[in-house]
Amino acid sequence: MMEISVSLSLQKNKEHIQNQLFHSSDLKWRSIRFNQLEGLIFFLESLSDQQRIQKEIIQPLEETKVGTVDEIIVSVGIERISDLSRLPQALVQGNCVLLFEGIEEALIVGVAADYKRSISEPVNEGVVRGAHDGFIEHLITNLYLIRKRIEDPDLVVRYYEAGEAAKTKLALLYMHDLVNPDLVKEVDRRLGSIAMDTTISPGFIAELIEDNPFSLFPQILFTERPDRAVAHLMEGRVVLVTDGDPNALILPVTFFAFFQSPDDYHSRWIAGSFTRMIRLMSFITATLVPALYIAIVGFHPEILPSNLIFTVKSSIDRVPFPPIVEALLMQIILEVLREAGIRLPSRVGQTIGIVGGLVIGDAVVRAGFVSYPMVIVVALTAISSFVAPSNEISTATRILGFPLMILSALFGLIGITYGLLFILIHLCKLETFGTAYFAPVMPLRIKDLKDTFVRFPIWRLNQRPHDPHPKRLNQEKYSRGWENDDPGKE
Amino acid sequence: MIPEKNRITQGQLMFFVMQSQVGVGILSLPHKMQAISKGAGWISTLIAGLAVQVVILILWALCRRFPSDTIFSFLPKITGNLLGNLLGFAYIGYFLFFTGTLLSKFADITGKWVLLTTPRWALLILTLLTCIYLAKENVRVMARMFVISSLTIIVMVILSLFGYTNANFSYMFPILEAGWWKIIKGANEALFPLVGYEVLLVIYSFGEGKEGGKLKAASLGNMVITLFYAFEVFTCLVIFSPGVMPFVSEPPLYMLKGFSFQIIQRIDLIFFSLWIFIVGTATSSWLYMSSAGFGHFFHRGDHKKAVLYAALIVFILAMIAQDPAITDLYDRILKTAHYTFAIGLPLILLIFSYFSGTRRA
Amino acid sequence: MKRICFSSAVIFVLLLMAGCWDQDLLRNARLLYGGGFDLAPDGQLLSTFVIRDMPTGEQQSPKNDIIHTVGNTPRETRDKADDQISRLLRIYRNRIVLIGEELAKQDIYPILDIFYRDPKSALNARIGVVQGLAKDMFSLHKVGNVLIAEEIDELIKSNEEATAVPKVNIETIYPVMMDPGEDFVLPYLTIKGDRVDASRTAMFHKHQFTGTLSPDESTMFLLLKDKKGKLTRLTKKVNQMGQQNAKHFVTFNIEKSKRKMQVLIQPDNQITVRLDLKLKVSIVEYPRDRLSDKKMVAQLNRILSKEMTDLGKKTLKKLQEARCDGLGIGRQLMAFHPDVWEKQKKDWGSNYQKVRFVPVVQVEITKKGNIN
Repeated sequence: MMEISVSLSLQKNKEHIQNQLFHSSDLKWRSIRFNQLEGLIFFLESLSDQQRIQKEIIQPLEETKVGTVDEIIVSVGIERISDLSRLPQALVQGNCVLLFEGIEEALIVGVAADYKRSISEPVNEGVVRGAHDGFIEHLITNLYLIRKRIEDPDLVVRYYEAGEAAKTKLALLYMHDLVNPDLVKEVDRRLGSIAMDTTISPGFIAELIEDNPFSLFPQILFTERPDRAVAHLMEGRVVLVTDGDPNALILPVTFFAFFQSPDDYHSRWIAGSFTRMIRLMSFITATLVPALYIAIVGFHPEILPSNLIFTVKSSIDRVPFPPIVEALLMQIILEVLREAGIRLPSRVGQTIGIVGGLVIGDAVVRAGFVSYPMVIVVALTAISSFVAPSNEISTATRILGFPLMILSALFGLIGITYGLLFILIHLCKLETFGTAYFAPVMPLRIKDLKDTFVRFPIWRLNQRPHDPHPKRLNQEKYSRGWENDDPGKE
Repeated sequence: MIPEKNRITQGQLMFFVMQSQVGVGILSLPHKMQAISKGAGWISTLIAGLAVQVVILILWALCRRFPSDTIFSFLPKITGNLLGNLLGFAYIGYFLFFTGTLLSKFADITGKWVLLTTPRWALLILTLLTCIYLAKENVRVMARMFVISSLTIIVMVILSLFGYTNANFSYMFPILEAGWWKIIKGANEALFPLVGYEVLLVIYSFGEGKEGGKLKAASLGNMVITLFYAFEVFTCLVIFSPGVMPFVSEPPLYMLKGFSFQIIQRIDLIFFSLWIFIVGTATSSWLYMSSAGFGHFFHRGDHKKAVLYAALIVFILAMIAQDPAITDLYDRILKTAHYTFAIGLPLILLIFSYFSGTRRA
Repeated sequence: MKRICFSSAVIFVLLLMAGCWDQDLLRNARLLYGGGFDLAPDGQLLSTFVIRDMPTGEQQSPKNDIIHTVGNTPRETRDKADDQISRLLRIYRNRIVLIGEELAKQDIYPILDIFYRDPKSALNARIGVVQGLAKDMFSLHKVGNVLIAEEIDELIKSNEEATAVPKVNIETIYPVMMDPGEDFVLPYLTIKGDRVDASRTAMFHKHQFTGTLSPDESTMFLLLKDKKGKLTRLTKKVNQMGQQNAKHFVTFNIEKSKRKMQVLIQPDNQITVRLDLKLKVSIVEYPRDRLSDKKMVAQLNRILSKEMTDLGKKTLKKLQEARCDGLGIGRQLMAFHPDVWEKQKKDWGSNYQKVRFVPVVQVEITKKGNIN
């Protein structure tokens, strides 16, 4: 943009600003006299805190009448600018602009209003025990939540702006002493190259910077929990926080990060390991069970033991469709119900539960469209898929089931095997920001398996996971020092 | 030179060798071993493993002279450009031919056990699509996959252990019934299912670390597979009486067929699925070997583009071999080819390069 | 990338259009629960198929559908049966195969060949020989409240655990059947009124049925073979003087059985088999009591040892008469005395009859129940 210097004439400046903002109705101004000079304060009443303007600018100026403006105004953010064209931008960011007749400089004072909700527990990532605060839509507050937890000068915050028209403020956080510098460089490069008018949500940013946008698997972890973000920061990962959204992006992450929950670490390690294994098992159940059912009923009924096969047979005898149609039908009904459940207000949501669960679930069987075992299979799939602590992976899980179902309808168990082989190869291939996605299983790193399928006791996890290539791998040598203290010595 | 992101660790090298070696042979090996060396089939397998070890030593000695070359790039250095490139193509042919035979055997067995009416082409396409997907990746990704799919071997061993409920150890005796000559002959036969160590010729230079370590990795891989094979042969020998063995051509599957757990039966289907994993990885490895050759000659070392048409050739080869007569012919060609390309040629090349002193530092 | 996506999509659609070659819907199957094979009067094969149907209602109980067909081979009879029923006859969940006595006296391998060849067949189905016709046994339809095929299956299963009949299925007899050095045995079933009795053993030589063992003998045989089930219970008369009175009998459980088999070759090529059986038993019924007396116990041990040794001798004699090498003596020769086997194998059936068995059973009472 061309640089236009601030004019000596107040009137001209005023007209310029008005034109630049197209005479927007919320542009307000107030005249003021100071140092015997005519002055004008411009601000957007929608964005600026008028009380602050009153208290921090107008009152001191009116009271003192003479002096240096910078010294009199008590606001924190204050800037002198001689480029007129920058003023509209400053205004739409919530600043107010101070102009005086005959002075070729404008004063920009930060008086943005802070309307934000209070910190509350994230609804989507509840935990049984542990911190109950969550990120909100306000960047500074979010940064506060993280900084407060890591009071360490090594925590670095870098601001970025994404979007060309509507700019979104981004903050990139990392631990300077831990993070792999190549990673920061790479993230910096990708963030810098984002070219888009608006980046409405962190989802946009994730999609713009992730490595494999065609993959079904989420490669960036979204979280609303500061403790989760902090834990990942301390493993040498990078966290991206955006203004206007309570979701922080964590990267690079592995597949298994999507199955970790802060709860694992807050409860005792055996319980934590148990629940984590349940989650991973549920992932397998949710992807495989419908396909397996199709394969068994359609291709290899001999797999079922005798007492079971007759029970299953009696309930599927009347069903008119092949198992694949039956399964697809039920899966789609399930997805519809789920989607409807999200959109509706919670009071109506219960109705959906009744209509979906009772009416459809029961009637569809009684009418003979679908068999009981299929309803059980689909219900099991749904429940298992919701176990994952991240919404992204739970959706991916269910979508992953569809190709497997089709393969199983074509080739039976053999088809499923090929499907699994394909998925495994895909997982092998995936790399996000230089980290293997399926680490530490592929490539295998036995030490990191301590915190993958199970969670070893905290005092056994003396090394950081290797996948983000942190600068320092060792966290501490021995965390239970008291065990070495020999009480007999004293 | 090998780019950094293509490097694999020694452990990965080991699994690479393992997964290339273990293939279709495992199912029919006990049957073949019993036919020749009777109760000593497992000894034959072990001897074959030892022989392979010697071959690995030869291959290693050859490859270490060219620490940053694959076979296709070091052949011309030893024998001169024309002959070297011709030999390179011969190797590609051998690799392709082996892949074709492997797949056709796989299709035969699958058609016999599980998918009785599914047409051959559908099965082959399914397999090849999966293999292409893996083979067009770089060596590091493939190695990752091979490490994880080696878990299937452990599960296969565990499943085979269930067979021991019906075991009768006297079936194996007298161990040396067939005589040593037959046992050695059996070992010769067992060499064939153990084929796959040739992968060293192509991927040796991708491995990190010292020469000795790489030899250790390859040997260890071979040892694991030999032991696995010997275990399977042993298991089948104590479960099936000598009278039955001639009738059962895939004993490891057959012994699990009647076995059942409380909630599932037909354990052989699980075993079969695991076996598909193994065949899939082995096929990918071989497909990679041949397309690496094509890549070297036609695409400046980029094998990605070559995978597709290499797979097409393999598909055609596997489609042709439907008739038992052709399959037998394939087998015979392959045996000769195996002695030539995996043992004979490397040995000659080694001697040649040793005397002429060609070596790339 | 785009091209690959496109081509895989095309292949996928093609597959979908043609697909499902091997589909074998459970819905379209009629499941065989048991099958029987008999010799038809004209020398053909008479097959009985017991198909179990599950009515769709929730409260209804399963029903049997029994079909008889005559043909030359099992497969032919099966196809004929399939022609007579709606949907498709499927044998992959077959539980029991019964063979009529007369048919079993001929070669039984041709009947079983279909089971071994078919990749989907149920190799873990039980198999037994029926006194008379298998068809008659299936014609009982129901025993008590249990459908016939299921009853036979469950009956054999519980008797296997009680060491009354050998624990075999189609798969386990296969290696034995094809092995010249060992013969297999099957449960032998009889019809008792409107019930089935499965406590005897049918002996086979090579592929032919050659004789039966009584209930006690078949238990003894299993002990000699070292195949004790979960529970083994025998009742023996211990007082020869008295009349038939419960007082003169003792019933005992065999808690532990230890067998030692030695195949010895004498210089004159006489094969001697020493069978040492050590049984630890617990008395479960002995109305004469007085078991606190040590002498009494020792005497009882002696009597029982003798009784059991006699039973063993009787059993082995019957086995030899039937030429059934159920203990696998030939196998032992083959494995450890191959030179002897070379000479014997030609006519092993009759050579086996010349084998000298020396069974020694030692019984030791270790438990006596709650009272003395």
